[in-house]
Amino acid sequence: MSKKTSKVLAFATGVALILAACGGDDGDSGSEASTPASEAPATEAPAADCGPDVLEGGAGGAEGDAAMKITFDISPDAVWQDGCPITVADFQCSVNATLNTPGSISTTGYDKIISIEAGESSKQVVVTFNAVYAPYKLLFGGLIQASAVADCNDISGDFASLNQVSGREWMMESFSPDQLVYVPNPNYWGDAPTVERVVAVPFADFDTQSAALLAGEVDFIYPQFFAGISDALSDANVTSKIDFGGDYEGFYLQADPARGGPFSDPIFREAFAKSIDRDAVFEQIYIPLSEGKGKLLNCGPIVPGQYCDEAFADQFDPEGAVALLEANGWTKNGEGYWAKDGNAPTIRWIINTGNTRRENTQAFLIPLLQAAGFNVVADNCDAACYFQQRLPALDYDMAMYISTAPPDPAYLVSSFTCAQIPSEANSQQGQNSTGWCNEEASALLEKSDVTVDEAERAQLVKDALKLMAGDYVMLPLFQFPKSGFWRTDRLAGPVDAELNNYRAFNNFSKWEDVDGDGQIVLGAEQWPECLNPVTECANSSWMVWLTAFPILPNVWDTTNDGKLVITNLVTKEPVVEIL
Amino acid sequence: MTNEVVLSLRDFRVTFPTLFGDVQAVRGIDLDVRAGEIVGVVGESGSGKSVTFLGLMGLLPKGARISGSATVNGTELVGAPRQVLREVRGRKVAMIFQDPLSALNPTHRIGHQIVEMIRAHQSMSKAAAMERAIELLNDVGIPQPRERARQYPHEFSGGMRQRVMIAMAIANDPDVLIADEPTTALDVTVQAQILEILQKIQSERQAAIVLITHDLGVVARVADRVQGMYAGRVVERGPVAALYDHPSHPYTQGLLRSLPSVGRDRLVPIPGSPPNMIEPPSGCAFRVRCPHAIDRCSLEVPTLRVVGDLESACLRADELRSVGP
Amino acid sequence: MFRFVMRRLMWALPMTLIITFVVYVALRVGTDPLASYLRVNQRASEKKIQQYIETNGLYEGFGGYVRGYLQWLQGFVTFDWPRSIKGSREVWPEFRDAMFNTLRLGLTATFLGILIGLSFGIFVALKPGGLRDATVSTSSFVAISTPPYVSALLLQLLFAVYWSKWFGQSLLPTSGVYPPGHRGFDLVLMIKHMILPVTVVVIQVVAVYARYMRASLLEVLNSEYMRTARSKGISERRVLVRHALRNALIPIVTVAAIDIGAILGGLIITERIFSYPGLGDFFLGAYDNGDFPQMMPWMFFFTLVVIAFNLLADVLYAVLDPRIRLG
Repeated sequence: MSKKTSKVLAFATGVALILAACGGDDGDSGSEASTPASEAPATEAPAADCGPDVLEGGAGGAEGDAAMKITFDISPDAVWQDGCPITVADFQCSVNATLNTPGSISTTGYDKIISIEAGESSKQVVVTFNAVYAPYKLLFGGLIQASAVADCNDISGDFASLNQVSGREWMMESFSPDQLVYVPNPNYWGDAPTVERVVAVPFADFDTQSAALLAGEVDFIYPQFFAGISDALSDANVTSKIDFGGDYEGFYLQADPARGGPFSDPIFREAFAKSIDRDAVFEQIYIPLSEGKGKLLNCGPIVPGQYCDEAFADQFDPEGAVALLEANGWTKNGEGYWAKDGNAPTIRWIINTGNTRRENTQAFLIPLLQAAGFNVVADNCDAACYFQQRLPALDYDMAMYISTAPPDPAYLVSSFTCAQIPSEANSQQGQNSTGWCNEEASALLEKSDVTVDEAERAQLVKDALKLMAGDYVMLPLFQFPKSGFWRTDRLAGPVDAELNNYRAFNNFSKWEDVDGDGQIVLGAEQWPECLNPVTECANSSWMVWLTAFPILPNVWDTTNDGKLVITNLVTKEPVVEIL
Repeated sequence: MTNEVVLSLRDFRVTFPTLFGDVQAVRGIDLDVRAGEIVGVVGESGSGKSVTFLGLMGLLPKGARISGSATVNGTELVGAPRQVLREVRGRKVAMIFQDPLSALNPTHRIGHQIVEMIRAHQSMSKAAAMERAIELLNDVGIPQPRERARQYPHEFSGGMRQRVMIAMAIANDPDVLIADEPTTALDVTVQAQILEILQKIQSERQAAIVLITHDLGVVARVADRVQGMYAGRVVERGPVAALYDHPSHPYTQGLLRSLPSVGRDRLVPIPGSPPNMIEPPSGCAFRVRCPHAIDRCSLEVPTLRVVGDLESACLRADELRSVGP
Repeated sequence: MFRFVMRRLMWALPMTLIITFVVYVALRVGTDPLASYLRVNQRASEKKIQQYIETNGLYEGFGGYVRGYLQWLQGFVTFDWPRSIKGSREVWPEFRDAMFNTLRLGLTATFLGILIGLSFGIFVALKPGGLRDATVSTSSFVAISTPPYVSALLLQLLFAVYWSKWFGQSLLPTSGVYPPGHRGFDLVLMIKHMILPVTVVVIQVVAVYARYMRASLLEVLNSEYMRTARSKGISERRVLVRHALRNALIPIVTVAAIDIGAILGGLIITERIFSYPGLGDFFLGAYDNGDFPQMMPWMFFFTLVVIAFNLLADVLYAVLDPRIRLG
């Protein structure tokens, strides 16, 4: 449970946004289509009714003057599984579904779209924004087929049991609580998969999926990394690749002045942060669990790459902390805790009960911090309470959790800007759960969101992160390894090529079925509960890995080195015009 | 006493091996029971009286070692194959137990339990056997036997249950009926009724009845002969009247003194308790509780010898005979 | 007898209604279905929320609970079940599949386990105190104190992991109802996939029932009516079967009937370890999301199972033991 939730959390903070962008937009109606897709439509002629090429009502709806325009040229070969061409209507429907479906998890980016219209033909899509939106490459992922859903403005009832829409290599043949079967999409216009079938099956935990791999029941697993995992899976026929993805863990200090916690005092917060020896935590907690494969994360709430400046390095300074407090009127009280005006604040540190790593961190750090004069107490509750109640309500002083950094830094805007602190203004839906508000940093981040030039944008993000480091609201700890294990007697090809990718193992259409049983079997650590690509269903990494990425077309795909590149859905890099 | 001997025991012994040693429960018993007579076997608990008869029926737990001889109508039971024992049980020798509630199977109907007994030894249809069972119930004085046959043991009173046991025991006209404390669990008026039924069976069917009891009073009412047992041996035997009038063994005397009777103010229990049968006392086992014991009693195992109308296994039987109870 | 059963049956109906109503109220109060819905569907429109409230009868106050319960019940019995809060899935098909999987696993394991357990119990009770007794008692003690997840992992290691290391191919599958990618019904494959999970449950059940049966049969064997039965001169076989076994089974049958509900409910761990899509996983998923439309049928099902098997225990007890019948 704790594993699952920590993972979900990763997505609650980071991925939700990305999903909205990447997988966030499909709509098609599989709800009544409970028959298996085995009788896939003939490759040739499109079915009788492909629906209109352009939707009558258009799409979007944001107000204001056009500030940015993007033109997409859809490949003339691009068709859906039924042979119908992918047209502007599908872009329109996907955007409308994301914007208007009740319960859609995020509309970020799409809410800036004024209109989507056909250009020279229904294969050319012209999208007009009311503002410059730099992370535009996160949009138009997970498109759905307009003619597959009854109402593009509400697809919440669609895809209840099966999603048979496909604009990629695979089609979903069947989906049930015990397996998901993919077969090649007969109308896919790119390279056909090398395998006839791919089956994904769920496992409750590592022990069961490792047994299944070792017993040869599954060919590939993608478990959460832990120390000793390689030993646990040592077998002549099993090989592995350990890589680094976007998962990182950190400490977060509740800075919101409105909540009035001890860390709303920036002096006290800084002194506290300077008293935490991250190197010691790394040695104590992370080295043992990473088989020596990790290093201390110094980037802030992001992983190494073009946006990282190591701004959070070398902040441990206990003498400096003491000097700072004493200079500002703090003294140690009878119990040895720092107090000001007779008041020694209690610091409530929350983690989810039962998470061994975090409990060990508390056990290691709390005595040290208490000795340094900070009255830190563990204030833990179960995962549901922690991630669904306390964290969104900013009801903590110090927190520790994993997040997943998507390839685009746009998530920093929603997680760390002033406007995103939950408030009346945003109906308490803001996602800045640290309560950190630095106007200058917010401005930089917001500007990064509307700066299309990559180098300029990277500099803005780095500057904002530098300010964040100086405000001591977040202490990065560790970038988690990712691990793929597979049987060499059953699987070959570029299995290890994409494991660092945000899209994980989604190149499986290129894998080779060595044992000749006609199928590749993937073990899934978590199982998608439902298939709707725009609602809460999509708020899980395994859901998008398994049920969105392999079947729904994207304009941009992520690469193994964290870039976004166009897919064969379009004929060339879309043209971005700042108006 | 001209009737033939139907049950005969010679040097009958029962030993139970235990972790602490062998328990010598019965140490050489001789007994003859003739058709049509009631023989009382009396003694305190642990004297070996029940074990003797369970032993000859082969109803003791598996570890019990039995030796000597026990014949029923000439059939040797000691060491007999299971099949022989099965034919004897219920057919030639039937038993009645002390607590009829626990001795009857609580989940089987009364009639069925008797039918099972009948059909174990006679080839008879179920219906006919049931008719016979109802007849038997009527014979032992159960009113509305047809209805009662369909009931379960818990629907009967204690006395009625014992009648059922008797009806079951006589179902196959056995030659010997062994009644093990048949009245102990019953109140006094019911006791009398049960004893009457036993007497009736004896006179009407000419069955031999062995009445095992610790109550000399019961024996006095119905038995022809008495055999007193102590520590796995017979201590005194003879006609009931003689034993009552002139008991010569201090143990029998003690038993009689502990019996309520007219003109006696108080009961005198026998002091002490029965001996440990793993290592019973040498010589006369009763000497340790005997007010008349002499040195010789510990050296010599007294054998039964004639003292007046009785046979007694006491070295001082002649002297003590006059003392009386 | 008939009247007894009828009387019990007539009790069972109001009992079911009362208990499910209590469960309904407990779920309403304890999980707050509306809050769960809003948590899972954060941007649900006012109209959708209203629709959810009405479909599920989430009215307030005691009167509202009664009304909501009756509405739920009506929908439930007419198979007009509200959809799940996450993904708006139909609940019945998923519930039905999970239920059949669980019943198949649970009932097979229970009956096998009880049967084998009783045989062991009899086997031992007929010769108590010997090597046989010691062996069975010790192993059943070990089996009872081994948690199912340990025995499950050991079995998986032995028959799948190490077996495939030694012989190049695993002997028994460790997961699922069918092999990955299988379509349609196949009895042999289904049984093959059930062997390990059933074994895990059977080990526990056997251990418990061997001990029950041993104790019960020993008590009966030492009872006086067994001596009476033997004194009748009937065959030893008849003595054991008609007198001893039947009476020894009375307490066991009643315990077993009640146990079945508990065993079904206790399959959660086994189902998880063997990736067996049963009611255990169904409930865990539903509970995680606070999915009221999914949890209620689950609760109702287990209420019904418990009541039904209690009723069965009562009736069986009365059938087997005449002393109870009139009471």
